[in-house]
Amino acid sequence: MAQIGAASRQPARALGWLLLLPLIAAALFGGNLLGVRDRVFPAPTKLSTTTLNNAAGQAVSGENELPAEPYWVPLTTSTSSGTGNGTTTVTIAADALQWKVDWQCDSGTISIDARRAGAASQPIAQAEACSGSGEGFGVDSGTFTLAITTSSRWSVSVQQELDRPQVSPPLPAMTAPGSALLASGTFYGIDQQGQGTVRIYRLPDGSTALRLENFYVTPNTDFVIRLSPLPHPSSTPDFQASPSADVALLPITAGSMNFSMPSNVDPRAYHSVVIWCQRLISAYAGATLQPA
Amino acid sequence: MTAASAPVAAGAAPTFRLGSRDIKVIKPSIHDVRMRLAAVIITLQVLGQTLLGFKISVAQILITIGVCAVLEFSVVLWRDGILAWPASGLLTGNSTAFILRTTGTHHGDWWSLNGIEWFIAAGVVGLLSKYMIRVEGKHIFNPSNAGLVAILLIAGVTNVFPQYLWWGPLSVGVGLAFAVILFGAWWILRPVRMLRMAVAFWVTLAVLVGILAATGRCMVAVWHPGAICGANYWVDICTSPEVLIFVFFMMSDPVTAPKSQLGRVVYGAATAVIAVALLSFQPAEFGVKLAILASLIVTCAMVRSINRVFPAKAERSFQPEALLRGRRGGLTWITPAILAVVIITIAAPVDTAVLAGNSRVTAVELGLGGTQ
Repeated sequence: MAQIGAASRQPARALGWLLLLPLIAAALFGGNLLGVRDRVFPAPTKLSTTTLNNAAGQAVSGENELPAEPYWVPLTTSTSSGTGNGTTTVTIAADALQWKVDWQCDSGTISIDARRAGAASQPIAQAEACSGSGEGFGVDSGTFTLAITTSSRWSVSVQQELDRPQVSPPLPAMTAPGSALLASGTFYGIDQQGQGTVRIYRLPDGSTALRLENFYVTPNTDFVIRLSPLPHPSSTPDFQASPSADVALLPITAGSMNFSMPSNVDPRAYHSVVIWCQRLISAYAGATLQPA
Repeated sequence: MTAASAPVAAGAAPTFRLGSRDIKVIKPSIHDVRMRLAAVIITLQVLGQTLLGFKISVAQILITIGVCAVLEFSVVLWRDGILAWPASGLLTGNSTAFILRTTGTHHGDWWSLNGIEWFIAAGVVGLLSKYMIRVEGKHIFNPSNAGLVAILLIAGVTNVFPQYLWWGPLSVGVGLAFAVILFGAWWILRPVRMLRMAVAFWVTLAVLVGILAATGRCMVAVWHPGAICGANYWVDICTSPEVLIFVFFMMSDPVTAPKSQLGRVVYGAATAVIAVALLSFQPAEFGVKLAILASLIVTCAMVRSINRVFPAKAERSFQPEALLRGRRGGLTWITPAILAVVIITIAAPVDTAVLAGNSRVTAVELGLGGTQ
């Protein structure tokens, strides 16, 4: 493994043979023989092997569901009736990406252990100082009993992070007598992908509401649903050229969801719905509204 | 990525005396094709930093270039007694930094040293392959390609990744990048007579990836929601600026490519065939990109054989029997350098293929872990 000069042929060749050893070791390491590389450089994730394998299988088959931007869903909040230890129970969905416990206490320290039948106890907080609030994370799914050990008053709330589409049924008022479908449209991509439908309803109390169905937009954060007077905005500059109106923040990027519309926005004055990304200043997707 | 890693030409170079040695001085030449390549890569680096959102810091780029330059400068001075402008080292560092990314580096972290050890390792490994693995006085592998493949395989998806195949939706930045790449290809490949090689590679790749796309192959990438299949699979691979840079500016190194035009066409097509064979079962972009890079390792190792079958001095002759003729006999072939070539040539594609079964790679590309 060395260019061999005439004067130093033997030492150079010996060095060359010697240097083959690290080369062979690197080749075996690169091939992850016996999982050595994964052990030396573990993935920066605590996802279970099952989750990883499922993800890999979906990718190979090309059938993975369009995911939403990961979003947090509150599960439970529990507050102590006095001071001292306590427990609370929470069930984490099998497809949750992770979950977290936000805790508050006002004196001493707090420890929180997540206990699940048949599994080792998982520390969420270990003798953390009760100077205010804190948070701890978990990644496994199932039903957990959170054991809170403290001499203080305490409060804990649990949220799980999902990336599956959120499916909410239509508001009862949307189909109640006196309601009316005002307009509807189908989403198309502008700067990014968009699909699904939008419907705008007048509710019996005179207010208006907007429903997205089988909706998907390329995941990102800081989305707003806006109404545009243009019938078919085709680009971000196109959309920005006309005054538009805010309808609601869009925290979840896939599924079927309902939104109340501001009372000062008259949907009849607008001809399209645009999913606007405030962070990137980009019109991600749009839908032309057809009057019902 | 060295368009012309030419041996240092002595000529009438000025000299000076250092201790007991006469040291020749080789200054940079504006006529060196490597200057053109450096100009193209630096322009793309600037576009990457300003318009394309590349996840690499200025500090990572400068340190990688600096380490490679110092290493090459020192080796040439020590080995040949020549004080030479380290054009190849600069280019190896620049090319390495152009493709390599470290997990957790964000666009706009201008002075981040996150994962700098991997950049240095890739540059050093690349240059070591150039100076230590030499057969008949010439290096076999493209230095930046060898360094990148080694570090991507060894550090793995949790630490490093190659620049994305997709540089973003059509925009001023992407349009400018394509213009620079295509102009650079014409500007650089013409003088080194590599245009036919590039066409042979791309056409073969386009046809074979088209077949894969038509038969339902998909991949996942962290920049794309859901699987990339069908026409998108073809477009994202075959028209990727990264793939164009690979063929135009990495495969085109005259020192590691065949000498004859016919040999270069065979080399281009063979690299594409090997690349597609390796990427055909990769479910994630990391593996696809690594497959393309690893294919060049294999064909670089075949160049000596291609040169003998398609010799430069008789371009129209075809001499398959030359494969069976050894220029040296028997055991003299078994040298550390040749064994190193064999180990690298086998390990690069085999290790890349092993990646296909690693669910961590797919999980990271799906955004389920890591921070690419």
